[in-house]
Amino acid sequence: MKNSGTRWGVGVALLLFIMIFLPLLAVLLNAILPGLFFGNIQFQGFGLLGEIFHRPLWRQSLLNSVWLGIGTALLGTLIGASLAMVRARWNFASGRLLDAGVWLLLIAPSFMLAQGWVLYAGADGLASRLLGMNWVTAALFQPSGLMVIMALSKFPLAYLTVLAATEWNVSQYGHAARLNGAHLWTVWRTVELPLAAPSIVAGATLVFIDTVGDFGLPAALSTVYRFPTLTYSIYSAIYQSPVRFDMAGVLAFYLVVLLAIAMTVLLLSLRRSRFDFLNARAVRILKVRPKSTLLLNGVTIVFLMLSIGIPVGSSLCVSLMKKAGNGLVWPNLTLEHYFSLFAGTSTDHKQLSFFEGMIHSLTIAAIAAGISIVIGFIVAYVLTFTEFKMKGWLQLFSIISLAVPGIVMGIGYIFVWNQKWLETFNLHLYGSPSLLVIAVIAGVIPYAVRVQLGSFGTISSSILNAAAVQGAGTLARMLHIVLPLVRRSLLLAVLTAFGTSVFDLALTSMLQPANYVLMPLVIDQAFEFGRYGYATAATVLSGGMVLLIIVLIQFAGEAIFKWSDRRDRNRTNIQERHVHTVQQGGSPYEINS
Amino acid sequence: MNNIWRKRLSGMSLLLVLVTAGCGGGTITTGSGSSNGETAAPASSTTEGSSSLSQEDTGETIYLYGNDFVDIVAPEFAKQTGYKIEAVHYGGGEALAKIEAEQGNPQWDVVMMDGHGSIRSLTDRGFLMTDWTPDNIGNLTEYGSSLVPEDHAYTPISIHASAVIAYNTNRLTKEQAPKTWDEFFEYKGTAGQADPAVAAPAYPLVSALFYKWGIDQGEQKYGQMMGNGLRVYPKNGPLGSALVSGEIDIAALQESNAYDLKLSGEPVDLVWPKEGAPGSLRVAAISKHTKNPAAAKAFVEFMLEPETQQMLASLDSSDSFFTPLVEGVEARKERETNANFILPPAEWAAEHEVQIKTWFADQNVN
Repeated sequence: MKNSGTRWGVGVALLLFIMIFLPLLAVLLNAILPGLFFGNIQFQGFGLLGEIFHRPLWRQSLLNSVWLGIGTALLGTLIGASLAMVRARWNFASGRLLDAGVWLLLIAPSFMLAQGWVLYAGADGLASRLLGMNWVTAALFQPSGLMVIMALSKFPLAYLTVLAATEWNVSQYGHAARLNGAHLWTVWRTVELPLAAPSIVAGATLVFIDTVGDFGLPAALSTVYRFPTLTYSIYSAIYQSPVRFDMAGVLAFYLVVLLAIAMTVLLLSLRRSRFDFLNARAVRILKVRPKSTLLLNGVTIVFLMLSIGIPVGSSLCVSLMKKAGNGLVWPNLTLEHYFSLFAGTSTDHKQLSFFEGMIHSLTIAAIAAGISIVIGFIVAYVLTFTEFKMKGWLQLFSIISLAVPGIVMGIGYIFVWNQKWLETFNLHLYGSPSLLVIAVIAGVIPYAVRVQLGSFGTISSSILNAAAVQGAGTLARMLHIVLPLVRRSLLLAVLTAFGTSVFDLALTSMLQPANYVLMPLVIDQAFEFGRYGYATAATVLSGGMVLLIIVLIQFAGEAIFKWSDRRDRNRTNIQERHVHTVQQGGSPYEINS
Repeated sequence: MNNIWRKRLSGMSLLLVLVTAGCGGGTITTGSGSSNGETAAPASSTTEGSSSLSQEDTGETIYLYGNDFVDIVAPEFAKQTGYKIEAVHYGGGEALAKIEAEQGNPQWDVVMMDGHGSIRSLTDRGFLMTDWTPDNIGNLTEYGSSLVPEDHAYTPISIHASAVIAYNTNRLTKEQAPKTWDEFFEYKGTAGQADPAVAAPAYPLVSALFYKWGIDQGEQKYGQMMGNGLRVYPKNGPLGSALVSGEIDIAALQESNAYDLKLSGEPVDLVWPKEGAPGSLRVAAISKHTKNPAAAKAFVEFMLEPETQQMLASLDSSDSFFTPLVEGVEARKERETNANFILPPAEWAAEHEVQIKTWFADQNVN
């Protein structure tokens, strides 16, 4: 059992190394060995790494990233953790709405949310033109305003982490304290908060990691307000001439350092907390119905209105208006932007074909989701049930792509996969959609692994040991024991992976094969060329379609599970009846026949 | 035991690679080729001379990286010459990033974009085919001919203003608007421009002004204006929106964006300064490593045809605002009839690119 687990472990570790770690390493190496991938090896020394303390742009980008990350982590965790604690304790009407909203935000690509915020708060946006709130622009497009926007988009990570921690029902301590006369507030402060602290720290670091590594939001927001972050400076280092991949490497190095620090904090807090929040099990704590749900519902709805209502609502409004500045009045309403989605051809780079993009993106996302789940399943199996020695590395490889921005991975992928010698093996994947599939898989591996780890944790390894004793190999144990037990979270993992990969912008813009239309590019190009109607209609329709697909598959999956359960039960019943008859009057001969 | 171990391991990774290669690999040829209608029957060349030249080619599709007109010129070129071409649109910066990232194994054949400084820099580092003179080079106007480099590393196609002085008519009258670049930099209200680190036309703008004033005085003028709160937007699109909304009063805005806003009825007008607008020279260049030199050369010849240039100058979009560099082609009438440009020599622009961009980016953070 041990050896077999090691084999699988080495296999997936190698796979993740090639898919995730190698491209990152390729970019980092450029900081000291520029030209390494172009057959021109020359050691440039570590001098460039020190430049960050001399170049104002770099220093400022680093500082901005750190401050934005810390601010967002604090604010996002405050929002997420409070909502989670409220949700875990009380039963109220908008609770399910909150859960759905949180998943929506988790899956929604940040550039789409950013687009909505810009349409709302830009100088030309809905807030000032329609609502007459001219102060919004100045209030939001400044450092603390950006933190608020980021926190409203990233709080789900903290919410889900803290909510998962409440699954460990420790209310008996609280009850003991209450019996001894402690006030509700005292109980919360002295018992519940300290117990939840590790998960709060874990949630905050996840928010920090996601904020620092994010490119979509800061990039879109800096179109109206200049606030260079590390990811944005990497982007501008790559897009200047002559292209400075070595500079991009240096900046990526500091990004990785930041993320490494955050991850150390995360790992330390993990020792005492659960961070595998993405799982399919219902929260088991018994929720109390509060005396008045009005306040709870009110607060929840306000947060959802702010975090989802503003960006999604702005996109929806703009997609329905002939001219964005003319207001939501009857003569200004139109569906023409939606019709134009199906009239566009892919030969106009400002208005790429929606239909083509949708088909390509959905196909790639579906393939990537399928493969990433298989890999995620094996990784989760190895991490949970085997004695594999390099578990730490496997953990690291499986989470790092959450933190490294797509744009860095994108360049790394070009370095690694655009090599002449690969052509001789027919593995020159650069410029073909298959490389996109691999890159997208790399991007969703963290989700695929985390979701499954959560449910694997509940399986007792004694069942597997028993099976092993009976002679079942690793594959048999995976397929016949673990798989049926975790099928619900597997479905959830597939859907999460699918949802997060449809709109992966940074990667697609670097690795897009020539004229291969993809959904995020359709939206981004149209937005960039000021075709807001087309961009927002595409956002709303494609987002709606992806949601619909996810909901339908989930329903279908649940129905299939129920059907197969019923069939199994019937079969067991028949067998039981059969056994019963045999025991009642049949002969041993009959049993054997 | 060891064998099984190896088999499973390599099997698993190979399987993944092959599955993905198989799933996606096939789609590109059919997907991109047929959907764009840019592929035409091979070898049925109609252009004189190209049938003999095509002997050196593999006959495969050539790739054009460009930041303008790619959607229009590629199908037309394929139709007229019979060569197969796939045109890919990138922003200027993106195209250069792709070219650099692919330098181990270039995937492109022709590049057509603004910014002769950046193209010069590619030449100096051995990316481009040199010492080939197109037959149609004689079609160039006198001004066009003066921009042809000695080594023929690239061919000038057209020129437009990377920036004119645009102003919001609700906030300024025609008299109040700055008339020269000196006046622009002395303006006391809010002004904006695009970021040379990101927007393709913004380096031609900054380098032209630095060239006009000299590096020291350029730094001083920009430094002063940044102190006064010059707003720098990543690209010209958001810069135009900021001008329309009144967030800024005046902008050094790309010509096509400025005319676009003016003609669509937004409160924007523009001034073409007497000393000239910073020029953005569009050039075409061929990869040194192209496997299809005949097709690539035919493309450059095609861009120098008066018919091609007239077609582009007559488009019903703001892309058609440019000064054609081929004799006998008429520019758009709505545009400044006497358009003159400040254009630094390519060598100067290439030589000072890193210095100017780094200075600009570092100044701009505070």
